[in-house]
Amino acid sequence: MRFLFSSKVSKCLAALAVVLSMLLLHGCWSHDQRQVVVYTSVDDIFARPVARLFEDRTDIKVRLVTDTEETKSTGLLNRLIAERNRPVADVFWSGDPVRAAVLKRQGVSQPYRSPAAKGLPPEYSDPEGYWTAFSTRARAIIYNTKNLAPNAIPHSIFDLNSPGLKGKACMANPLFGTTSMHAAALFQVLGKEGAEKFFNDFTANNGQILASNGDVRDSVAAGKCLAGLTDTDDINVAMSEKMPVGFAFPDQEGMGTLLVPNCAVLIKGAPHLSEAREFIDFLLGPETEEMLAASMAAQIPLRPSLKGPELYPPLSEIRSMKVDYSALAVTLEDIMKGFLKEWVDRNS
Amino acid sequence: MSLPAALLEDRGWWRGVGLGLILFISALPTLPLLAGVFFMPLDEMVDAAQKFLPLLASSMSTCVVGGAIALAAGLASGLTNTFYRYPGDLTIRSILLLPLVVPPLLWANGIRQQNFLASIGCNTGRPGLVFITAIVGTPLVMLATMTACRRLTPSQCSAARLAGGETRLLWLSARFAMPAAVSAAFFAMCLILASPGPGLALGTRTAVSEILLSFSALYDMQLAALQSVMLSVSVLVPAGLLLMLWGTGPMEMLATSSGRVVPVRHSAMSLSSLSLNLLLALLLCAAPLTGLVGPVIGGINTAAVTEVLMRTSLNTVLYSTGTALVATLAGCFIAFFMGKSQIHRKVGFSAMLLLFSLPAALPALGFLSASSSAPAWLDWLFRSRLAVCLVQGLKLMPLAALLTAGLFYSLPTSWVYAAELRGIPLVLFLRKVVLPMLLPTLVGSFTITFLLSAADTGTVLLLHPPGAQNLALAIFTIMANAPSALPAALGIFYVSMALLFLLVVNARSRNGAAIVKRSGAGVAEPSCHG
Repeated sequence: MRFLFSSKVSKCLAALAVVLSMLLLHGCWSHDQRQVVVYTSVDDIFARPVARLFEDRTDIKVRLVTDTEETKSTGLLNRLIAERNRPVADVFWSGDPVRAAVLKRQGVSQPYRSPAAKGLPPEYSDPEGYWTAFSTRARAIIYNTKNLAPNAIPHSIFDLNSPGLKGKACMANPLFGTTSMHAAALFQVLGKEGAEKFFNDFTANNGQILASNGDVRDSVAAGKCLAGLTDTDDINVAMSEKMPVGFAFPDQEGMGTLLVPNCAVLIKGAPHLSEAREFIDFLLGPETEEMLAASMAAQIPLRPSLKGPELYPPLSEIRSMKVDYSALAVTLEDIMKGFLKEWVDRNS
Repeated sequence: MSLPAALLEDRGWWRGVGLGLILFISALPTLPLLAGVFFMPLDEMVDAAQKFLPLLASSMSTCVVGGAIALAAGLASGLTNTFYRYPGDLTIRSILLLPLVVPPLLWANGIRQQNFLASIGCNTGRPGLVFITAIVGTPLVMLATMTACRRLTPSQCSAARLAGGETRLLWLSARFAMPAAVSAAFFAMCLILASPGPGLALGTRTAVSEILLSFSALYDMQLAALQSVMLSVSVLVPAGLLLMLWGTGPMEMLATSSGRVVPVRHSAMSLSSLSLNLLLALLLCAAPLTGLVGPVIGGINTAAVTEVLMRTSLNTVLYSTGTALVATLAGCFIAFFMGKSQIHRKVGFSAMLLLFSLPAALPALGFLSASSSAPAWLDWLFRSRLAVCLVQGLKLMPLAALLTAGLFYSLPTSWVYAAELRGIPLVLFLRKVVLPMLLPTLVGSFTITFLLSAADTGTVLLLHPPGAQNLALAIFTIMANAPSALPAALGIFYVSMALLFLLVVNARSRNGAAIVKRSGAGVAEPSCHG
């Protein structure tokens, strides 16, 4: 043990302590290089290439903070809300409008009307400019092509409650992510009674509640379920991996399919305001929409003139659900603490 | 004026002050959120508590069953690894320790996709959760059993063998190590109780996943705080029973000794040991791992894997090193202040158990709130990698204290008074006598907390400086929609590094024991418990 207390070893330990301290504390002080801090709930695998392209195009370093799958963590949104008095983030790139609306209600965001938003349809964005929507996913039905007969393919969310899919339909936990947004949209469109009936019928039909949209995809691909509700990016990943699945945009003859656009949000008190605006301008530009369309995310551009993903038709060919995106956050808050929570508790 | 060495034997009020101060600092990040409970309307609090109670009871019962399995498996494995050498023991023991260093969520994902486990109904729901608890608990119990049994002397083992052969030896050793083994099983239960990932991955509602829901879906911090308090307090009940039963005996057992018992080759028992430990390794580790690694068979994108590793490796090492330093130092101070005073030890361990069983998100969110209220010149504390290390380190501090406290308790009184008679100041006594004895324990404590912190995602997600993820968090952020081979490849890398680390640690530990045996050295006063 003597060697551990020799002056040589003590000097090495001291040097190690200094290096460790420097590395641990690195990043606390301002840098000369321009930078923008972006928090995003978009999947890391899709968001990071966009951030890199922005870095290549500008001299601004993007410090990206991504989130885990919805149900696996306390969530980036909590981080944003907790930091609101002195934010670290400059921009929140949200995968859906509901999170953006929550931030608006919590006083975490500020309005910004980007000049780059030209050409983006305004109906998906906040009328007061607190978020701007671009590139959209859609809630779709995924089904197993091996085990489901063509004439049994569900074309409506209500088909998931049919006798033919008893015990074989699934959806992700509606307290999280895009499924929660879908639940809020159903309450808005169908009304309280209609929406509650849908969920209760789902339960009565022994529908399964899984942890996430990814689990829905995997479960249907494996044949454990025959059909389920998930997002179009999950479906695209499944099909690119040659899983035996197909998809349908639900309710094209009825209430339509829910679109889930990305949203760019400027954080109130952003430490790097001009860089944040530049990043949002870049996000809202046509190049980003095309990039997301060409990526594994297979997101459909909101600009009708842009080339969309190979797998999905343009927006003009999809009958979309008519929802008030701004009001969804309020609806969601009501049902989260009420029916939806009780429904999940009963069925898990 | 220097402090006298006899201070180590003193049971004065200063111990309570020191202990209270460190515990207060550890609890500080959680206090703002916990304080919110007191502002809840009473009827709302009662209603929320009534709804949460059945779930809490169900979660605890699931963990108790898993803990019982871990106790049986870990005790058997620990005893056989202590006394017998068998072919490949180093590798098998390292594999058995893997669940300690891999995030429980990764394990849960693995067992969910494993066909064999599905066929025996162990891969979802409550059976799956029981299985996960057993997976995480077995290595902890094994380690605790081995550490406790190493306090036996060779003459004690010989006497047991003479009295009734290997069976008698194992039976008496099991009785001897039981307090430490049960404490370790209980510790594993607390780990799983406070970890929301497995329940969510297996589609099972648990108490801690309900707390996560309150945070992240309902944004109801008061409710989450109330539920966290209920969870922590519920852990105190069995902890209190253990304290009444064994006092602080288990803590003494876990002070690492110099390894007087050295495993031997025995024709029949070595074969049995090999069979048992191989079976456990296959069932508890290999089976879940095959579920994780299946996707890489089709090929991997090495460029993508390299990019993630380059981005996260340094951060992983930094966070783990910093956390281990904080946890070990804090644990050491706690152990010093607890000393030999029974009341301080009981209060200290109860308080630490309370803190340990709180969900990791609570102190992290508290720290976040503090950071946004603090002035910018304090960013080096609140908004750096140091913040992650502090919060993680204080969370794991009870583990380090548990390992260290036993040695301070068993420090021979005669040594202390001999130093006092010679006028040797406390600092010199600590440096020249206590620290060399403490070093193996400190190294063990550092190693365990290093590995446990590498697996953390919750605290890192909330506190890491933008762009400074660790590998575990990177795996969980990309696994949503990345090609399945990518997170699988990263998972394999993670597990391989952990296995390598464990192999090195195990090899050095065996070499250390061999050196001690050859030199004939050991702690001056043999113990004879049980």
